[in-house]
Amino acid sequence: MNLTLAIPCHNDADGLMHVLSQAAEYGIFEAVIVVDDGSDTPVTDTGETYPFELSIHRHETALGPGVARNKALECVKTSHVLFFDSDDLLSPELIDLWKSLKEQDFDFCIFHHNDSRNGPAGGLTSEDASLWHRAGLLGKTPSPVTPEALPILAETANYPWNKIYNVGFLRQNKLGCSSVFMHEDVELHWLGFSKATRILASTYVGATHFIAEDADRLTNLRSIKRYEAFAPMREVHQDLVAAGGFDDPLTLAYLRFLDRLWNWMEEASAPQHMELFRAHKDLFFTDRIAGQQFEAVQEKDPVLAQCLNSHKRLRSPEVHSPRARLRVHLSGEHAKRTPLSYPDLSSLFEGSFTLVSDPYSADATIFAHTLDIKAIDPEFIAHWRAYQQPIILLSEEPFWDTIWGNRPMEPVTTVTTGYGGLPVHQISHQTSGIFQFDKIPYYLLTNSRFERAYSAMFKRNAALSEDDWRKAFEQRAAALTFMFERRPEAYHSVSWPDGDLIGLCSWRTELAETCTFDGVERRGHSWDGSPSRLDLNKDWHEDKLQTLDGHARMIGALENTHQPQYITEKFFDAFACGGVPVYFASESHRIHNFGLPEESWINLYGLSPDQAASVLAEYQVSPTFFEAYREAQIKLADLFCNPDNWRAERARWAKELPIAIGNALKSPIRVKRPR
Amino acid sequence: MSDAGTLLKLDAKVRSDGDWMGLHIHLPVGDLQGQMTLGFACKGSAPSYTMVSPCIRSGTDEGFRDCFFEKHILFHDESTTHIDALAIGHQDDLPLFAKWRQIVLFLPVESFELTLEDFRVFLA
Repeated sequence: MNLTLAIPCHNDADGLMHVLSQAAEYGIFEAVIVVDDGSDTPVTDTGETYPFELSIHRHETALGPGVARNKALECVKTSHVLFFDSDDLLSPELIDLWKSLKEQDFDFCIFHHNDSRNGPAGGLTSEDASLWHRAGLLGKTPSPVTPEALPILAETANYPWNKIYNVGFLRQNKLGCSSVFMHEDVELHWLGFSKATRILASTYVGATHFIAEDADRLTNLRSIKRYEAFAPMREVHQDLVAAGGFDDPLTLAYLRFLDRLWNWMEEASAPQHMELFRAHKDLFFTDRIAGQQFEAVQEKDPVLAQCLNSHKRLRSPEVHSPRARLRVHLSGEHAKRTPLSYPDLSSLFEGSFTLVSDPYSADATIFAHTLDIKAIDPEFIAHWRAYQQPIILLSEEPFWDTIWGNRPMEPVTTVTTGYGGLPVHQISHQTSGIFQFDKIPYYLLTNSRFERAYSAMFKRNAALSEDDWRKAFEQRAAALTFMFERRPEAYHSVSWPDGDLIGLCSWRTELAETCTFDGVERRGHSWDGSPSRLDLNKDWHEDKLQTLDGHARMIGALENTHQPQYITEKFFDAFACGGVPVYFASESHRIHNFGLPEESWINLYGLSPDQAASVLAEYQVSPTFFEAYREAQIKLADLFCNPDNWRAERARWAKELPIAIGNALKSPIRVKRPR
Repeated sequence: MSDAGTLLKLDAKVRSDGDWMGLHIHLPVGDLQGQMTLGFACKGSAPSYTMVSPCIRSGTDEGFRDCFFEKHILFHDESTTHIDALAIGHQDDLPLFAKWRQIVLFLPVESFELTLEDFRVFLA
């Protein structure tokens, strides 16, 4: 095994000399090939002696780094090659990496690099670090990339200089860079991942990549030359589909990569070129995505489908979902509280539903709250008496179902209005499987702020040791903080044992009022008169996290209603803020599915408010608490810092909500009526 | 046949199309002058959703006028209570004087079953 370093160079003699001197120092290269890509002052051999064979080739006019790399590849005589750039630097761990690769059989080995945007700390960009983490590739010793990890790793930034290639593999598969000035490495990167059967990965840091904002570098070029890359982008897609199909994980990974690349290109494009850029995207969409590819994306990754849609300039008929869309009307004051209404969810259903403003032209009218059905107007009821258009209660709140709905457990209920009773399909936590989450509970999907906040906070928390937590707990200002609306009224104490459904509003209020020991706080508008979260001029959740972060040892995280599938942000907020969540969950409650050590949170299920208050007053952490607490934080970081979990849960909703509503419409509630 | 404890059990078999079917209950109140409210309360159930439209029919020289209550009655498999009333003097179709009156329950024009457990009219 021997290694060639291949360096294209354009007007960067100083950078080249630096890399050459590094290569000489490292002593791992058999040969260095420099391709001078039309430098104003030609690169010449200075006569210096190197411990490798140095050859210099020249293009009289600049043809771009892709052509230069291909030229170098033609000239390589060794078994392996590392493509490099003259403006980046080798890193010393490359020596260890090369030694550990000796005598190993591989098509290419991808390795870590330092990104200059991270400053002296170095390391990968957070996006790439996350992808490596998700791929489970955490060791320096080069290890094989599994088929599951391959599409994840392929989504990392497309660089040629973070891989040592087997030259035979490149030549047999006719792989190389594209003949374009920018994004020339996309082809080598993706087709490399597609064709390779033996990929190794190592966290050895082999290079330092320099990004100089607004400097005179090809990367920062804002000219239309950048758009030449659309041709190889199309070819790569064609090859990936031919190799694996439209729904192949690598094809989908490539489309996710293109989505991010196009967003980046849009930012990098000069305003006068924007129309041309959009035309290129549109052409790509029509040529490569519309039709079968889009259908496959919609099926496998509706979020990606939504992202790709945003790149379309004009809506063309062939990209529409082949499924007939249901026309639905959202009605009532609480209409903004449905999965069809939240901006972060609604786009998932674009292919399945058309929202119409006219209830009389809708296939169904959807309400979020029983109160809104009770408040319907005479015109609506007159139309219903004549045509019996289906009415659906799509409720996200067991609290509403229990306090205002009279039959929370029934899939069909009757709502009494000022104009007579109406039969209503009820889709709720109690009656429908759509709220039975896989990994992420429904409420956290309703606003991307939860994903943003939790990925950052749990990443931070997971890095803390038991000792860090012990010290942090010693410094907490409060013993216990409650933050929820005070609702002491006894009518909140309702229960439906067959649904494990229990109203907790008055229970938790009584608990908060019974807890009188030192260090107990009751925060929020209904307790201390501070502004209601609805009146805040900023994100209420961000405000809550800022207020509670590192503040209390225990945090009241009690829901307004106990329902096995109903889990809001409260429990996770408590962990995110470094407190012990005080919760109420029966054995069948889904909170247990998160696999968090029981010792890491407090469960008051089955206790009276008095008993629960005593438990909290006497609570002391056990000797093994911090071990359990740290384990819980790591588990939550694994859950929330993995975008795939969020993506998959949204995809589940995209698929299952239309089915749930479709099923309701397939079983119309027939009412016998006078003419 | 009505079961014990029920006021009326209707089991209607409709064999051909019709425009209406009604249960007419005589209301011995021709003069509504000095009264404020005419209403009724009822309790009943039906094995499947069954809608009934109640009205007060008032006999006049020209024939009759129907004044419908604002609510329809929706019977279903659970016994349900229904109450509605008309404000006297504010209804165009409810004359203060009538030769005769009825409370009419317009029923479905297809086969249905309906149990009326209770039915009370009030005038105040």
